[in-house]
Amino acid sequence: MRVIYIMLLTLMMHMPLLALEESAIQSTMKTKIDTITNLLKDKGMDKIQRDKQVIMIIDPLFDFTLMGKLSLGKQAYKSISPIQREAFNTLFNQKIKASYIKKIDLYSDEKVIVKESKKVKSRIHLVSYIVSDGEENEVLYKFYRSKSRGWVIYDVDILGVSIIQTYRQQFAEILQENDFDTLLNKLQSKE
Amino acid sequence: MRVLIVFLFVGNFLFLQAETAFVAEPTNDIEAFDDSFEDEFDAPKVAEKGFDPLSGYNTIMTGFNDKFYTGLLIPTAKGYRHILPKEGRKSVSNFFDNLLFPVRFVNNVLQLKFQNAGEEFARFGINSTIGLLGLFDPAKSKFDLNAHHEDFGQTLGHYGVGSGFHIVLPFLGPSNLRDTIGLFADTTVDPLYKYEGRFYNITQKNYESIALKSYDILNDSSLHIGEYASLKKDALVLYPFLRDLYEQRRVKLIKE
Repeated sequence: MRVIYIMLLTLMMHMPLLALEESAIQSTMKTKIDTITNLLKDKGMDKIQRDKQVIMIIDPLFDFTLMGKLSLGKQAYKSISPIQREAFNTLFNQKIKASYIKKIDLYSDEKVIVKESKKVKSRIHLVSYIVSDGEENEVLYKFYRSKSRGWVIYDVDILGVSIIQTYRQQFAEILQENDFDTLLNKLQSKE
Repeated sequence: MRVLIVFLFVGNFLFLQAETAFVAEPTNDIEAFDDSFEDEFDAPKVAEKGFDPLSGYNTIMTGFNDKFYTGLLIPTAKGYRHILPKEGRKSVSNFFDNLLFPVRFVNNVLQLKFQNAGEEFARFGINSTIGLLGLFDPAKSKFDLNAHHEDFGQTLGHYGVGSGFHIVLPFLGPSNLRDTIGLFADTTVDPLYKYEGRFYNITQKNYESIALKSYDILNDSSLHIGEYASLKKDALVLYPFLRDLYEQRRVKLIKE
């Protein structure tokens, strides 16, 4: 029975890799968030195993490469060498996942409500709330339509704070006084 | 069982296809940079150095506050957590929140948000009585009345006053010129601060106000253990990170 369960789980994780359709954004996100909260509620589960599963669930939803690009900004992104670009993409990807895992470690019985999706120009904003002690904390997922992957997330606003905007500012600040390798080192050392 | 295997097979096959499909993408448009995205985000503010005239002081004060939080406040809050169970600490937090009613009420009225002001008024009435001096929040749980946090900094922002330069306040953390002025303005209605000529004054001496505020902060921290540490992990450089978080959050709060 356990084998079947694991197989189904893998299947479920693979499915969303099929391009996400506009009409399915809300329901898919709801299912995924519920699956993650259920994993988090299972306190008996091995943490490493759990984190791996969570990452597998969220990975297909995000365009981490674009997120890194946007965080760096057009100018900086174009000025670096392909090798640096590669290194940056890898480090940024790791960093953002590690940060996500750190955040879910704080989870304690909060409820997540997926409220509505709004069309904003060519993007879709999905509004959700994390309810903690009766207080609603807004988390906004921003989707764009990628050519090959369908709708994917390129930014998340937590209580009005954009992840990309925050990285942009920090990267710009670092690059103003240092070279690009310093930035790479900083990304690495904060693992 | 057979159906399951077919499913898995199909699933994995599609997975492979999808995988090859998006591996190809980055190599195609590695040079392409979609400008519609670029316009969506603010240009980083560092270009104008004048925007952050206190950056030297702010960096030092951020370091000081960081030491204070991680070295003193959070360890104390962790200890305090063991003395009072969560329900108790939640009640303390409710109690202080309820006392801040005048600040919220006045600022909702100043922003002409009369419905919210009315809701605040009802909350204060219900929670101060049925809610035993604000220790409990039946207004929310029984009557579904929500709190509407507004302060004078937000009121100024609501009427178009810009944030001014960023200021990191000792102990209290990130703020800016507008919000610091707002903070002082709010003390004229905040019952925890003594203000001559006002009919309600809980404290008589400055140190009493400070003691109560400190306790409020300690109690709040105990309800949010781990959050600062987790947040800090995201920072590459602490000061600009916290500054940005604060300013973005305030813009959002003012818009609401």
